[in-house]
Amino acid sequence: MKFVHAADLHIDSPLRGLERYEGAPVERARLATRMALKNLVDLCLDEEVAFLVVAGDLFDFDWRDFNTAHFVVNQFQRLKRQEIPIFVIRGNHDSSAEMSLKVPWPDNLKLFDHQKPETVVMESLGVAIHGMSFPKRELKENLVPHYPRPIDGLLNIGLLHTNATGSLDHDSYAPCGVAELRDKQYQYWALGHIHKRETLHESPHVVYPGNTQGRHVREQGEKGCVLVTVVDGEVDSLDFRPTDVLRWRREVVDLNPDDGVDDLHGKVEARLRAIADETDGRLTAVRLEVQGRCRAHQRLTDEARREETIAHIRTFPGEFTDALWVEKIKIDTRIPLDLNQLRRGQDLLGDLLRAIDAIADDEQALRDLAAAAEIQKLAAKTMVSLREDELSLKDDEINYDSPEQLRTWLRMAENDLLSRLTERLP
Amino acid sequence: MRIQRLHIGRYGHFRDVELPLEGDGVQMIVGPNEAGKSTLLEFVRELLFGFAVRTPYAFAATTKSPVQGSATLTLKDGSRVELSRRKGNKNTVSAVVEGRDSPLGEEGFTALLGHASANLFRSIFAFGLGELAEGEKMLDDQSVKSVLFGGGDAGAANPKKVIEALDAEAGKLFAEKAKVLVINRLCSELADLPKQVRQKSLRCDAYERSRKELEDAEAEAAEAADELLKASRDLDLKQKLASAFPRWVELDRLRTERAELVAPPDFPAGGLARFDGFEAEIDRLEKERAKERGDAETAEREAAEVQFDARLIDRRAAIEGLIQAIGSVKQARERLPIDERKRDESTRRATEQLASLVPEWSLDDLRAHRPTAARKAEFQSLAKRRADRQTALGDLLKKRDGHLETLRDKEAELRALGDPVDIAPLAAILADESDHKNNVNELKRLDQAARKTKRAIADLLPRLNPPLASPSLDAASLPVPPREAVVRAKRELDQIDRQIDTSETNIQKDETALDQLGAELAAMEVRGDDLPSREALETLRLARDEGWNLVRRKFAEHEDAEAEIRDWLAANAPEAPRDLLEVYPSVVRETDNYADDLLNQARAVAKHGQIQAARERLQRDRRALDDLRALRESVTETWRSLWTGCGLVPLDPDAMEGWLDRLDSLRTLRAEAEEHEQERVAIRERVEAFEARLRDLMGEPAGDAAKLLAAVRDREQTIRSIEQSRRDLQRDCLRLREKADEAEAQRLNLQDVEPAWTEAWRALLLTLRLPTDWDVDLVDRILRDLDGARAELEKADAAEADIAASRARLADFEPRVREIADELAPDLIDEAPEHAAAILQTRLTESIQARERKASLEKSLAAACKRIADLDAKLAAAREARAGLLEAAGADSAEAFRAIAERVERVGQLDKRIDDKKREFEIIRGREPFDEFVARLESADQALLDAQRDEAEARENEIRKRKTAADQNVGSRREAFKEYQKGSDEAALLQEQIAAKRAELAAGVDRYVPLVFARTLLKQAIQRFEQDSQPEVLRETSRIFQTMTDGRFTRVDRPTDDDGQLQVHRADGEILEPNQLSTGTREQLYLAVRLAYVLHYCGRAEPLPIVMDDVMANFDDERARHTLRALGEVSKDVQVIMFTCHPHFIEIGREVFPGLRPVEIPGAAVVEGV
Repeated sequence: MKFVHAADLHIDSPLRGLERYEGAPVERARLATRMALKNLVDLCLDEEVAFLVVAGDLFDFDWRDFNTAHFVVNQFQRLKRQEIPIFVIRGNHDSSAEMSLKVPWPDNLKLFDHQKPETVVMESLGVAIHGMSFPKRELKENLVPHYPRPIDGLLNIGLLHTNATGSLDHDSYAPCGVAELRDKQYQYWALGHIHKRETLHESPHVVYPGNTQGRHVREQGEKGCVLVTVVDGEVDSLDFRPTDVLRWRREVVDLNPDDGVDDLHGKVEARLRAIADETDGRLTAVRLEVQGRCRAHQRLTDEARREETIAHIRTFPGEFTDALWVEKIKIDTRIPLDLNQLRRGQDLLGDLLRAIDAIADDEQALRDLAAAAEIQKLAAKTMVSLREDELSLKDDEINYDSPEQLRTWLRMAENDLLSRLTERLP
Repeated sequence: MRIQRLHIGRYGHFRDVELPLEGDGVQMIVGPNEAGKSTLLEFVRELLFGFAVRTPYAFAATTKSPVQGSATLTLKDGSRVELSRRKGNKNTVSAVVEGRDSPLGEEGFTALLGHASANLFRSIFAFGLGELAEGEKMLDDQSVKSVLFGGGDAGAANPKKVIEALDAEAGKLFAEKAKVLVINRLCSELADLPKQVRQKSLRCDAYERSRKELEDAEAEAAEAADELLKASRDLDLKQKLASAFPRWVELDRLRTERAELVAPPDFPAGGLARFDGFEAEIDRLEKERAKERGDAETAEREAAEVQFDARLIDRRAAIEGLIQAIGSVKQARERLPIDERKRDESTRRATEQLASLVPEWSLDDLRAHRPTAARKAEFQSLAKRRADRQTALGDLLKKRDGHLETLRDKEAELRALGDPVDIAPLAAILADESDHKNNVNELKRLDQAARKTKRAIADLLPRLNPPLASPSLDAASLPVPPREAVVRAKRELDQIDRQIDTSETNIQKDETALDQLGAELAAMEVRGDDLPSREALETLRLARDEGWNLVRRKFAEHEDAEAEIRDWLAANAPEAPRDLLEVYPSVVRETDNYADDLLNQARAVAKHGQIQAARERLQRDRRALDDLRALRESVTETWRSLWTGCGLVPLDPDAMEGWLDRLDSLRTLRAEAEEHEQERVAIRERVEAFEARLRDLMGEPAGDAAKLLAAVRDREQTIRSIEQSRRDLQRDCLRLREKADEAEAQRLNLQDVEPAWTEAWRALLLTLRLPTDWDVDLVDRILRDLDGARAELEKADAAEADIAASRARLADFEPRVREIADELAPDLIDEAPEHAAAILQTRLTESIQARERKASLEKSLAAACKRIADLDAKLAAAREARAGLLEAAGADSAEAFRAIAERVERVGQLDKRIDDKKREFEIIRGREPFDEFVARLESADQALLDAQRDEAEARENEIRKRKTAADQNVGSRREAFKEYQKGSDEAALLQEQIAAKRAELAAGVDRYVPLVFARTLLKQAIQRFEQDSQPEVLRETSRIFQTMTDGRFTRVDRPTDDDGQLQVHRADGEILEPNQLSTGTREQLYLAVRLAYVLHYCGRAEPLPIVMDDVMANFDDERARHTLRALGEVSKDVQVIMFTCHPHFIEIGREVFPGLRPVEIPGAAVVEGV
């Protein structure tokens, strides 16, 4: 017998931070979470699995758009036609309180209760599935003690949305420990919430399958689900199967002091070719970060040349593959000067750099700098324009009050000033 | 630091070169262009700060001999350093400091240089003419602080331009009120997109509502369907009843009628028809039999009457043979005399013709004369050759004469053309015609352009008022100030206005703050107006503490402190009563209370202090505002003064910028107009020259050019046509002459072949046995006549043969006729044979016909007898069948039988109709219960049933309409719901766009904020420089500049406004701005600023040598002399090295610095005068 364990599908979650430009495959990217679900269903059908378990966060949030639910229902109906049951718990993103509508689920889907754990026994398969949905988003309570004892003679599968690793990347909801999961004596814990694939324990198995589709550059690498094979009532093997249609990569290209714009192009193209060889045809979104103190910096300070370089780089993949998408290009080059020596100089440049260092070390001075009228107006404008939406600029890493952010801007300003003030030096 | 000695190991094209740089004052290094001054300058820089990895001066270096060099240096503190450096990766530098044991590495040497960087050296200490020129330009449009900061920042970048660029870049990204800038646009799009998401999203409640609406609609449709079913059934019944009723009534009537009729039970089916059929058959058969009997009798009688002679029929073949021969016998008898006449006539004509042609020939000779085909052909050929030759000779003669006649005509025409005429002048005029036309068109175009320009000027002039009261074209020559001055004035005024606005706002704020502070103070409980100062309070507090200390010592520790207490009282309460010692504690307590009270009021005191400060600030701000207003007035005055030369009072600079634009347009238009006028004059001259030429040529001094040109064209055309005719005629004459000659030659050739033909002719005549002197025509005629005579002879011979044949045919016929007549018709023996044969034939034919007639009549008789027998049999059968029918019907007569048959038929009809009606009725009734249905019919009438049916129909229609509407409603609801169920992803797409826009916005913010930071940081740096260093640098600049200008300028100063330009005080007291100085003086001024900053820098760190590359190239000797003096002063503090390629500067250098020892660049050509 085989079953599939998936979690954190986050259907129709917008892919974050994508840059749009002519030729960018935004359509493929936008439909990525849906296509991942379709791949998941295809896998279940191809492998003729006995059932599918989904350990929370099937949806990203309450649908402002009911179409999302319909897409999911349509996919699950394909499993219904082959009489494959689906067992689903709600996670923090699609908790009972978050979701406002009853979905017209097909009758092969079992959605576990959010008030107390439930158990579904499939005698014919020799399987008992225990699970409980999130009643609300911020569930701080450990649910494991509430789960029932295992049923003897059956394969007991626990379905739980939890932060069992103490990951700082994810909210610590329904926290629990691996030891207590192990002690519960279920044969398989199908967990969700942490997007990174990880097997926390074997025999009994405590498994995070990771999410089915990476949604931003911090969710890199293969994404998919776990195909579990059960032999004689025991878990025999775990097999990861990818379901993602788009993969993220962050690539840093370092430049040397003597490197000009041509060298930049050459290095970037070589890197992209190398990546293209590794994509095996699956769409790969590459975020390129070009950095280093280099000769090219002086040219790249000019906005038009910078844009020109970015546009040029974006054309590279088209020459050798259509499966590579330069999603964003971050040019963070520096002027090829010895800053330490400049800082110690008794001239005006030294004075300027020392003054910048002093501001960087003084939070109040940083705030004073940010108190400039233009920046206050900018903050007011950008925050107001975003307030109507649920998401704030904080999600996109802009925080006018954060000293770290201000320091980053200060260093960017320093870099800019150095470039401009030494513009005509060879 | 001073460089005492330089050694170049290997660098550029230099090898082992030693340069001593000793002596005081400026050190000059001389070499012509391309001698390596720039290389040397780079060497000094790289020796001090390191050889670059990619240095372009390593071209001659090798691994064994790398780029390297050394120097002896003297530091500010007097210590001596031996420096050596090579190009490489590590341990490349060694600096041995006098008095120290171990040499210094890179880090140690950098510290010796005061951590100066290569950039610093390059930007501050080493510069050439180019940098000087750029710095000089910067003086024009930079504020004092920018200039001074720029002088110290390397001149590398123009700080003002950097700030402007930062502002401009930031301004492209965001402005508070803008709409189209990147960040503003993204913000407004982001504000709008969520609305679109909401619009595109399928709301859960909308989905539910749609599903409910569909269910409701389906329920309503089902209900309507039920109702419709019922109504349809009702209508169906009513329709059946209405339709069945007339049938039911008819059925009833038919049944009644049927019941009244009785018929024999075994009356044969179709009996009446059969009976009538038998009656008719019998009648017909009897008539037919009577007719057959009549026919038989007639045939028998006729056969008996027929008679004929059978012998004739037996001799039928012989008689028919005679008949066949009758035609030819008759023809022979007629032809015989004719042929005999024809034979005799032909024989006579042949004999006569032969006698006239060849009398010696007999008829047999004629029969024997038959010329062969070959002879005839030979004769024909010779005759034809002769005839052809004769014809050709005639043709050639005619042709020759024709050519000669045409030739004479053409020569007459040629003579009539007269002498040729020169066409060249006309052709030359026509060749220039195109240019002339172009010129005329160009003239028209220029006229149009001139009119257009004039109109444009007329439109533009009123727009120059104001400020010009009555603008004219002369306005274009007004000495308006340069646009830069206008822009500068505009900028200054804008800046002042902005400052005034800011200042007024500040004052307002300060006033508000002051009012607020006053109100706050008033709200506090203050003990009187005379609040003590902070210092007084502090003194009081100390006194109190001291007092309490004394109280403690006296009253708690019981020390003897009375004297001290009295002192305290004397100091702090001189007016206190003498017995105060006793009351002292209470007084001190009261003082303490008072002090406490006062301290409690400290907040009020502080507030008071704030008010005081605010008032002072306010006063300061008001003064500043007044200053600003005064400044504005002054700038406005300056602005007006710019325009005094134009004699007008300017509007504000904004308006005047527009006015200048219009003035520029006016100037452009005037220039265009003048240009057009010049072109017009030139072209008109060309047109007139052409027309004069034309008139001269045509000899019409007053003729119209166009008409004259047409006449020229005609004349030229005519001449060309005549010349063409002449050429054609000449060519024709030549050709005709040739043709006439050719025809004559051919004629003579033909005449030469005559003898050969005559010989052949004679031979032929001999062969034909004809006289040899006969010519062709004679022979031809004789031969033709002989043929005629022979033909006549042949005709006579043929007639003779015909006569013989006719005679033979007559001799055969007559005996055969006589033989048959003897046998069968003796009456014909004396008849002519042909007549007797004809009669025999007639008799034979009649006998044959009689025999055939008799046989036919006998055959008819037999057939009639057979048919009569058949008819008798049929008649008997029919009569028997009729009798059977009568018997079956029990009738004894035909009439009785017919009456019975009619009754039986009526019964049959009724039964059929009843069945039909019953069937119709049953079809209509369908499945309705019979009894109930009939009962309803029997209790109703047609009108009632029709009314019920109509009513049911109306009801059914109404329900059907309702159901259709309900079905449509279900359809549309289902469609709408299907759309929902499809699962559109438009909302997801918009979400994606929001995420993307947000990222874009974040990137925009990431770009904008650093720009603002950068600008602020740079402004702060400039401000710090202004506070810390500006006065000193200004002082030094003044001193150096005064020396450089030999005292013509005494001081360089800042204006009251730091954003203004440097002010240069002339010795006569006048104050000038840099743009009022000459270029050379400005270069000196900028050099002074650079040197002042160098001195300022060197006051704080180890001085580096100043290395200048030909900076005095633009200076005259006097200026150079004084500049060198100033440099000499600077060189007391800082080493000054100057490269030059101008020998006269060396001379001036020697004059200024008597101890100068100029160094020649090794390998350079010897420079004259060094």
